[in-house]
Amino acid sequence: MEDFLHLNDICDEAVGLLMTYRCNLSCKYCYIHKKQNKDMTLEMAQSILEPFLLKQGGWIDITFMGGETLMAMNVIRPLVEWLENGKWNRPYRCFGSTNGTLLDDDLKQWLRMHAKVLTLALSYDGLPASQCENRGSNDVDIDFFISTWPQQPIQMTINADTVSQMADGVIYLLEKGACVHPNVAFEGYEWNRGSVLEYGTQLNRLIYYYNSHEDKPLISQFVHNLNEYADCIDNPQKQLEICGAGNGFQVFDVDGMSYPCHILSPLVLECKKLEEIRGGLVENTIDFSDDDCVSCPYVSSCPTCIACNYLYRNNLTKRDKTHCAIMKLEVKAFIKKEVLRLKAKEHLTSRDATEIDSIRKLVEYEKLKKY
Amino acid sequence: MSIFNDFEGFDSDVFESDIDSELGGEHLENEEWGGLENPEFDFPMESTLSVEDTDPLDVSSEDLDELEERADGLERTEERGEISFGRKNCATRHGCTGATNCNYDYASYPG
Repeated sequence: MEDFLHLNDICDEAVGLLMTYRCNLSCKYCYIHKKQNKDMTLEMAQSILEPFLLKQGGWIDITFMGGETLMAMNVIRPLVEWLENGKWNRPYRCFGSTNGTLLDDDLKQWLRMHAKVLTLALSYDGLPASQCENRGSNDVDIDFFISTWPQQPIQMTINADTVSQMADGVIYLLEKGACVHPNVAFEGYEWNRGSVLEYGTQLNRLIYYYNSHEDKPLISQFVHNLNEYADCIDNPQKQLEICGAGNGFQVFDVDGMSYPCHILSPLVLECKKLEEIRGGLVENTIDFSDDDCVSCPYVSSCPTCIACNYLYRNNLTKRDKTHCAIMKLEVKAFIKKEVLRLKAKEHLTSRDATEIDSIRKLVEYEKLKKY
Repeated sequence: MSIFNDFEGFDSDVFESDIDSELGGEHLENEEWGGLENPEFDFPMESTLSVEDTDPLDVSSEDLDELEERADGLERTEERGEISFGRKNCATRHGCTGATNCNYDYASYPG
């Protein structure tokens, strides 16, 4: 058995710890609308984790959440060292997201020493100008993250204000040697048509970039299975719960209370909404599909967040229309990318022929929907 | 060079109406569309073109016809690729990854 899980390996169980509610930035798209000063103590974190680690089982993921992870390093450092020195009945790995603005030399040295146990994922919004626009700070040592955790993608959040810089942002980070996850923020309002179409323009630029830089790791916008979508035209599938919130994953608040995820917790929710979550709303929900998506062939890969659905639309299953439009643009962009790739091939294979059939089927499907 | 050089005969309607309907049928005026100009590719944005005429993601019928012609006679494979349905739950079961359009890699940050 390997000593450490690969980043994308599936773990058996996942536990999140709300280490701190505090954050040093005020990002435009943040879903935490009311900042609070709460922190988890070392003793509380240990008492939560101990039973999980003493239980027999496979890998367990321990995620430090918040708030800004690095604001809780006074607890995370001794906690990680306690984990490393303990005798446990199962293997574990630790993870945290960070804006990366609070690193100093001492912390960098400590993180390098513990990089196999603790992975930090940097959130950085592409170009420095986009980062400043969204987050108000660009004081980040990106290269430290790339060199310390080369497999961990940089999380690049896109909103309507910075969508016109998306392609340049992705290329900027790819050229630095990073893997990149450009993610469209789930927010309380929908993008206007101009912003959505601009997203398509940015994808188009990236198609041409990737065609001349085949060695660069693909962003998720260009990872689709067109055969699957084509099959789903005739056999629509039902949306499953897309994440592990409340179903294999739980987040513990600073007081030790358990919630389905960090958004569906006191970090974000208040009053009646929080009470409904405490009352088992997620656990008691069986059908996570959205009625609006019942015949959509892309539903298996279309992103949704039950927590943001609940936060912004008071309904776990009701998706936002921005991501719906964006998903369709991504499929369209991927079809164009595949057409260009297949056109450039000297010899087509059986697999290519199958995909060409699927592309035709999807294009005809979209045409029929129009008329 | 125009990015459309290889794509004569666009079928620009594909997907367009869907995005219209998702966004409540809101249409951009031409003057709002200046953001499409793309110096790197010398994008030929003429002021008289409407949005519907210039979707850069369209593929041409000719290209598709040509590919189908080349694929004609080739055996089709039963293999459908990696099917995501029912497997594309968050790889880490963190919950947070569903909050973005990530590819479910390790702990993508919710936007």
